[in-house]
Amino acid sequence: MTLLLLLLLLLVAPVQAAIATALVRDPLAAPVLPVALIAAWAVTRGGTGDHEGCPEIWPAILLPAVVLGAASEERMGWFLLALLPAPALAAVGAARIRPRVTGFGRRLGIATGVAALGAMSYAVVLAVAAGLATDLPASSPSLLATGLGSAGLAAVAMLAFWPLRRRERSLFA
Amino acid sequence: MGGRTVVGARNAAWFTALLATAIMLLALSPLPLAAEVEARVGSAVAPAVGAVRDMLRPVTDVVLHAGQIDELSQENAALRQALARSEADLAALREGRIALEQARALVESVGADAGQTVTATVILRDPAPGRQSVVLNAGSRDGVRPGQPVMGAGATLVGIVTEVDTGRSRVRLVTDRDSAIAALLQSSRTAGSLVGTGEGLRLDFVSVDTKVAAGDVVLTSALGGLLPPGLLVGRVAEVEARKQELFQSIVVAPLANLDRVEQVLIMTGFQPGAVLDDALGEASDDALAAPTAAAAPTASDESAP
Repeated sequence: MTLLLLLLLLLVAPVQAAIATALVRDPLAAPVLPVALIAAWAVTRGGTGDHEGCPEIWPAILLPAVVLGAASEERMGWFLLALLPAPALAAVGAARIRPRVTGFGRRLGIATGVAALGAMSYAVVLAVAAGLATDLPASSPSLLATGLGSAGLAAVAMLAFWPLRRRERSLFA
Repeated sequence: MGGRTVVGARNAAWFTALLATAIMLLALSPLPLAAEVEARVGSAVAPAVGAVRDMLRPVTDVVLHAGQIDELSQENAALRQALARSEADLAALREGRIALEQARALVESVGADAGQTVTATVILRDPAPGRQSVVLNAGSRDGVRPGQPVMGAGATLVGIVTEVDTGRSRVRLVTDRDSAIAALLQSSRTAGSLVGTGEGLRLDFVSVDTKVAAGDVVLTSALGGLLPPGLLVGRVAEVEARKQELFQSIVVAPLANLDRVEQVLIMTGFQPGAVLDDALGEASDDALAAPTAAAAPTASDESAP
């Protein structure tokens, strides 16, 4: 499962680089695919009752950070810093989930919330790195757009990941 | 509960480790080795991103040109190119009439082989918000060097080469916030500093006494020797002159459509700063020669009697 997440994030990193410049006119408003995937994965696979948690979300952000950093004039370190809030928020969100108890609707709410906040943090960190900190108040519609777009993608990703959720292994379950 | 504590501690450890990694990467980023590693990874990533961009092109056309069919989009692009070419021709004619005598000297100042160019394709756009740069599929093996100007459709300046790899180069677009070039207004021949604002251009340091009107053509200036003179950059879009201020606020709209630029021309024959170096070299030669010349008569004066 860890390999699956790593592979997914490795595949979506070039897609992210492409959509940030081709799909939207304002790169600040682009949805952040890696953040959406991490949010969806964490709430699908994580939970408090499970002592293992889902630690794979942490190293997984290294891959998109490397790819996006290589594709950009901005340094890899900034992309790593920008992606770091996503697994942190996802870990906090996953801690509110009880496997086999928490329903789909509540998980969906957590995933979209985590994705929205993670994407906005990503945009804010990169905007600060590019020297646009003073323009951030005027860019709030773009930040909202990136949050909403990422939340939507997280919802779609969660639907896709749903069959992979942890389930009790028993004879008839 | 114990398990929850273990998971919490593990998350905190991961967060700290990744934060430390990010800070370390940023601290090491000024090293040449780090830039080389990023360039190598970039070379590997660029084709993948380019392929994804090509795959997404139909989707992006629909999203960006909602309500328009593909033919209209292509026709629009062709018309823009034709208009840009016409504007380039018109500006070139005006330029020739205004500065006929200057032209020969300017061409000489650019260099004998300034006409050498290399065509290149944009293979990557910077995905970071606030950064306006592109990666081209031409590099040092094609004669590309940092500082060389890059032209778009209609022979308009789109940016300047900032980094060069063997087969790739990065171009900072004129609209980038870190971009600043010497420019002049064609109508009044007034020089200024054309800086990028992230979305467009702004011409700074033009006195309030200078007459500037919307539509005036902005060209590159040879001041500083970093760019060849007379390249088209943009047109004045807005002018605001307040009497209590020294300089006007001039907004310039780039002539090239920088969002959709795909094919560019790199002026590989241009050597940035070469003219200035030559001029400084001559000046220093004169300065060295002057004391010698002054000393010679003294010696002859002494020997004369």
